[in-house]
Amino acid sequence: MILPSILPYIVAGARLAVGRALVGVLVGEFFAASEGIGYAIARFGDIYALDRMFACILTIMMIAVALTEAVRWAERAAFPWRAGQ
Amino acid sequence: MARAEGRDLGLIEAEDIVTRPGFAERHRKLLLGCLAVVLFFAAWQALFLVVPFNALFISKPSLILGGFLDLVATGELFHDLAVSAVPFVYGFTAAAVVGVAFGVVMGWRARVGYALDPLMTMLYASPLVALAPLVVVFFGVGVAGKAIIIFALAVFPFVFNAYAGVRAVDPLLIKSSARSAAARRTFMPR
Repeated sequence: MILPSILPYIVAGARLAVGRALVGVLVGEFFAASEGIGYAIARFGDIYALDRMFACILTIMMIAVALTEAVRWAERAAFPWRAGQ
Repeated sequence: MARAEGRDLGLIEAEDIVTRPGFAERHRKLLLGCLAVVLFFAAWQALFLVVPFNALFISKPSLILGGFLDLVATGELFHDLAVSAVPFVYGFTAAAVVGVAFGVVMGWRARVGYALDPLMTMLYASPLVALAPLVVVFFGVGVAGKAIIIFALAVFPFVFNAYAGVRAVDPLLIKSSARSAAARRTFMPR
């Protein structure tokens, strides 16, 4: 009884958590990685290949937008009366 | 009279036709959003007509597009994204499960909620990214360390939202289910 009624809140929390988790991905890879998109950004920045660095940064931004919109769409599809911002 | 005859013959009057809003009207939210993004990049590119361009400090959209196409062509971008996606998925799903569990327990037992709320707020507000190097020292360079960082950052929205969700459940609902002899255990799963 509890779980279905709190589902809208959980999905709203997922929307917030996606953004923060992506920050976590990048931060984790700045410090210690040999592969991955955060490492790519750091590496291109170090060798001053700024065009590729910005390309990776904009890619991550697009992915963040896509994921947030996907969660928002799922929220609207499942609970149309509760879709917030 | 003539109009009545027209109607009988099946002619459609001008007032009978209801037009659908045009394409631009229906999709105006998406189109305006895209327009703003396009204008932003156009302004960025046009800036270098007046400001001298130094490739060591910044880049322009035309070069960025070239770099992006290079990365896609060599497959480097997809490989890096795939490698990054693994700890993201692990950390995010762990954060969802643990966060919701904590939030529900906090909402279910009021005292647990009162006890843990300040702690959670404190951890949520503090910049946990500053501890990232420490996590890497403990857990090594690999999926584990990154998944833990992602978990730490993503868990708190789930905790607070689940806590708020449980507290928002109408107490009348709970009391009426209790009266109708539902066992305690059947509250949660259904």
